[in-house]
Amino acid sequence: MSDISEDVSSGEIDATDNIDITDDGGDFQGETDTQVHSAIESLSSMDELSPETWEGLDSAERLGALQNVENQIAGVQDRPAITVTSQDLPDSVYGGYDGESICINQGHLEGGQPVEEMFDTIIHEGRHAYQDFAIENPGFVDDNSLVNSWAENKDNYLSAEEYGQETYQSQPLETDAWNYAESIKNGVYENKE
Amino acid sequence: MEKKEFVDWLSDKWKYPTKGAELLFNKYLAAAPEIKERLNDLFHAGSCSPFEIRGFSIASLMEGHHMNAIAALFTLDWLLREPEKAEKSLHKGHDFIK
Repeated sequence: MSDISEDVSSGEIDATDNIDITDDGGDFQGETDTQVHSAIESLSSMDELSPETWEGLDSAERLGALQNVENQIAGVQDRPAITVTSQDLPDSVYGGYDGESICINQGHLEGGQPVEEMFDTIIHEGRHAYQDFAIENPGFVDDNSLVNSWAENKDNYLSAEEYGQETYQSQPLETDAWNYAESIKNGVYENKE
Repeated sequence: MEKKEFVDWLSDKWKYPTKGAELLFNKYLAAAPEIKERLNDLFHAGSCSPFEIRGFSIASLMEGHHMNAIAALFTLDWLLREPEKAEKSLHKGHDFIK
């Protein structure tokens, strides 16, 4: 490894994009839009997801709230719900999906991470569970070429650690999960304002 | 750097699969001159000079985001091309799939 040393500073995120509810005519996009609307409708009423209530929860209660979100989003996606756990992870890693469960960064759960970001993470990881369910159950998602692209991507996953943030974020599995989670997050938190 | 030496370098020294190394070669060809120069230095000398943009540097991406130097340089290239999009993405971090 090379000997490089520099400093870092950080900035703020502006995640205030509007929800794109445009149906481009594809069945998959239409199904996704339906899921997004259903999720926003059902999750907007969860009191634990409001910043004020979240503030007062301990980490076990927060994990429980995220499990409730996973249970609801799994219903919206018509797949079995999976267990949500927490784990010590580097600060830049928000969570993960290992094929059987969803893992959330324990430090983020205990710390002052905004509830919107925790919500984004659980929806994002739940979308990976949906993608995986589609790969394992042919016909679950009608668009075979899309599912094939997910399967190929799963076998050749491009981590941020090795390929950089742009390549990581622009691979099919991640692009879909990032867009999906952001749409639902924006919808839920616009409704809570 | 020619394609073969770039791909061999990433495969042999950095343990990338051939397909992944070829993907990064295409990004290398399109990279900004200051990034390409540092990748060349890394190839020839095993180290390169520091580079920072919008508060992100090779070292900070390696330490804070656990990237290797190759991933860090390509991330800095994205910060040069699409600063706001890249910065927003970096502040949101990343996840993993196993």
